[in-house]
Amino acid sequence: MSEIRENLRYTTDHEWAEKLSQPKKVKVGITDFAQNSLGDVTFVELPEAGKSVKKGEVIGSVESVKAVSDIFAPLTGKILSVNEALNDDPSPLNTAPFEGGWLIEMEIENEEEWNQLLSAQAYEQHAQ
Amino acid sequence: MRYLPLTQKQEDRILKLCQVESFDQLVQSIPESIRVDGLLRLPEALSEMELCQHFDNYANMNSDAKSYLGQGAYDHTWPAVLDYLISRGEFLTAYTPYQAELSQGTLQSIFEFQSMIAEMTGMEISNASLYDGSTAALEAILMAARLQRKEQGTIIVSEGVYEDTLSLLKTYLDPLNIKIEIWKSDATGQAQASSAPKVADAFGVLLQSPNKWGVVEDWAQLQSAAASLNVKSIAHVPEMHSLTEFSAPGDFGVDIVSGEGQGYGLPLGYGGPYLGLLCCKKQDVRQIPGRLVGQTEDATGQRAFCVTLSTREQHIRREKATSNICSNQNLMALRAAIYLSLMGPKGLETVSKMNRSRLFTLQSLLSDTLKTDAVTISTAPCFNELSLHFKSEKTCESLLRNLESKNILAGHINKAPVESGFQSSLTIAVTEKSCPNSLKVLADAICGELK
Repeated sequence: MSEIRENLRYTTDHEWAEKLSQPKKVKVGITDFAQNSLGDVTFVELPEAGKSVKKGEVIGSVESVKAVSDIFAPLTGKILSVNEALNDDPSPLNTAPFEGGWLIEMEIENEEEWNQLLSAQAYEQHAQ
Repeated sequence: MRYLPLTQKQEDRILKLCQVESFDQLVQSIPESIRVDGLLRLPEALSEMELCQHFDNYANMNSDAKSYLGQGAYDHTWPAVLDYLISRGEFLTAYTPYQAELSQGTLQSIFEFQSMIAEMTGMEISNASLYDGSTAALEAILMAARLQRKEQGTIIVSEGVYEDTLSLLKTYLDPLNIKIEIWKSDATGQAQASSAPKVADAFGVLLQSPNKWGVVEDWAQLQSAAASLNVKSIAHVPEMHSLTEFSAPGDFGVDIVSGEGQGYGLPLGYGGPYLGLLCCKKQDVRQIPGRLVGQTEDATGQRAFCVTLSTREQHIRREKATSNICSNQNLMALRAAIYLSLMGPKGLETVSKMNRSRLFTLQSLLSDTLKTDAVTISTAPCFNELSLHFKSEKTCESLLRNLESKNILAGHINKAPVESGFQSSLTIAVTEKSCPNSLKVLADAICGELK
């Protein structure tokens, strides 16, 4: 059974988003369900910090032994930083998808999009 | 003989499946005006003997002129056993391995090919080959753009890049909104880092050596130009034999090497098949297009070969593949691999030394007798090709025409280096197969014409 965290919001593309203490600042990663279905991740292609992205836009990819999957921007905004450590060792994506395996931090443009993200319960239903 | 066997029964079944009454109804969306009425206008069928004669007649139209044309296609020799090995059925009929791991032998040959090309270029990674030298140069540029995360921008290309390579680059890069900026050479035909154009949105710089005038470039200039612009460096090597005699680009820390492998035992031919080469640093391996074969261990711990990192490729990554023209030419790559292993380091050294000495022979024959201000013989370091720079384009062209009437194709006419003040360059290709006697005939003919 994959872990789903109560305090996070989710997308139907199996990404999670977490509100940080600073206003409008959000951290993004892929869910435990996603890493389970992908299998061992061998490579992550991350976007560049400073890039403006639209919700749903492809911002990178996660490559596993089985396949390559796109990473989508869960929200519209600007990418503040990316998890550079994954370039050398992507294993945290499998071992700690909600912690060390985070992908990007971004500043979001509108709250409405945040409110449209799935709650933990809604995502649990989606991931079944 | 029936080439398209289709019985009435089969046709009826197809029509029924397509839910139409007749063939005409099936093709009714094709306008009447462009449909063929009646039979195709083809000549009468020929017998086997007549057909052979028909093609013999074509073959006899080939000129037996002595050719000094080069520009990426060089008349080298190879050990006779190469032709016998390559024509074995296991090699000749095998295509790109789509059921890769079933054909361990094919994979091993590709692995050996990659290893040898990487060794010659001084790079960490070589792919399993590309279509030809000019498309390899293009792939190198697109790879540099990906590495620099640029969807658009400018690629700086040395003035000495072959004209046909440059035209191919334009064809592909224009629609992608990637601009080409020319890096002018000095008067001798060599690119100097100090004169590399300073372009703000540049993502890469490509230097070809030997260049279109046959001049060998200095990879250090490429590295210094790339460093000052903070862009990727691409070394383009259209004649791999030059690397035996001159430094390998990898030794200078070049980011990407593209090249043409025809010189490694591939016969000359209109339109190929030739052999594109592409090499990079290990850190950039995920952006290299085309097949890569790796060495691994099977379940029982024995050495095995496998297609590796194929998630970059089009059958997995679809439209996000690193390239959609990553056709590798196994047979040509295998031919080069057999050639290299037959020649060995000593053989390669002999060939490149012979190449250079024949070129020097021509150079001294010409400089001894050519006494005219209208023409200058290039003295820059060169490999395989020597350029004569002409003040007048007309003189150059009429020389070429006159020699052609004497059954000598004396070379290729290029624009002279802009900085040289000359108009045209006659670039003459010489290999180990150009015997001193025919070089004497060539030199005499040139000097006779220019007297």
